[in-house]
Amino acid sequence: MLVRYGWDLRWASGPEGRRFLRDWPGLGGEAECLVEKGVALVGCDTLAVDAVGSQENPAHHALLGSEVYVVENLKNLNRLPPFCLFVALPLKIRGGSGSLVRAGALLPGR
Amino acid sequence: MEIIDITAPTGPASVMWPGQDAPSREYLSHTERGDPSTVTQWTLSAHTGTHVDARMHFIPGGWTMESLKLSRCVGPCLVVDLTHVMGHVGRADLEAAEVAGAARLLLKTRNSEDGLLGRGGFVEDYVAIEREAAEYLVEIGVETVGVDYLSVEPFEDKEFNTHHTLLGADVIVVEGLVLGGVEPGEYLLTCLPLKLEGSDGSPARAILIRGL
Repeated sequence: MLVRYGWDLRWASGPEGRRFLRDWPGLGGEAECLVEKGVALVGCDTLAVDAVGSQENPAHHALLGSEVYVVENLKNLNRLPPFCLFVALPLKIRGGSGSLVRAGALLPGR
Repeated sequence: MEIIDITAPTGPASVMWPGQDAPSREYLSHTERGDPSTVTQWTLSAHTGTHVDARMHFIPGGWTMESLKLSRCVGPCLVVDLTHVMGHVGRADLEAAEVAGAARLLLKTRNSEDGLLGRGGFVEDYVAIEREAAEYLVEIGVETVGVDYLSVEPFEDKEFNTHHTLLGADVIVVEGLVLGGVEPGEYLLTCLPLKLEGSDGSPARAILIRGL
């Protein structure tokens, strides 16, 4: 499941990128219901799946605690239809706490 | 659907091209130290392990990683068995393997059988692609070629003719693929390097898919 907040439109390098880093929304403990529904992966177009300033990081704990994969900082989600084939291949970093990733969506006939 | 990961694990023990440092890791925070999360910061060469070369790697002014056409790295692919080749891969070896017609071609050589990528130290006598073989790949219209050690170039070619031939013709070069357990044949290749702006290459995650 990919969550589009429209935050990727704020992404920019340099000082302009401050808007991206300010007040971003996120999932909270509600992420637990995604676990219950058997979601395998949650992606978002913000810096983190938890909202800015979250101290307890409830979404991270709910998702990672249940082996749901988390992909953050996605872009161009506005170009995707409701369903698509999502491909995200992070590097195979031994002992990595995470990895940069190249992510794409395959759409029919495009 | 079967997914075969053909990526070499990347870490401090990775085998590197001479002169390049292995990846190093620093913990910016760690849950074992009482921090709320664990965050590692890595320093690694753009040509670590399984990786894609940008044209700029050898061609001045060539495209850099953010401009890579992903369609070259995602699509039908042929894995061809060249494990019998004792020297470097020559034009005749490719002709005999009937590779013409494949847009994406992965060469499985004795590098894979010998597990070179899994060894700690760099070896100089790996199997690579001779210049004439590279010219043949360009001639038959191969768009993407992958090899199972750190370079498409024979170690002894200090003029880098193979790289110049392939990158010069805008063939995508994927190096450091792990093909040991892979049966020759047709697959769907998905090789996704990072979108590193201005970079001469990037580590990639590469997989082969069967039965999609």
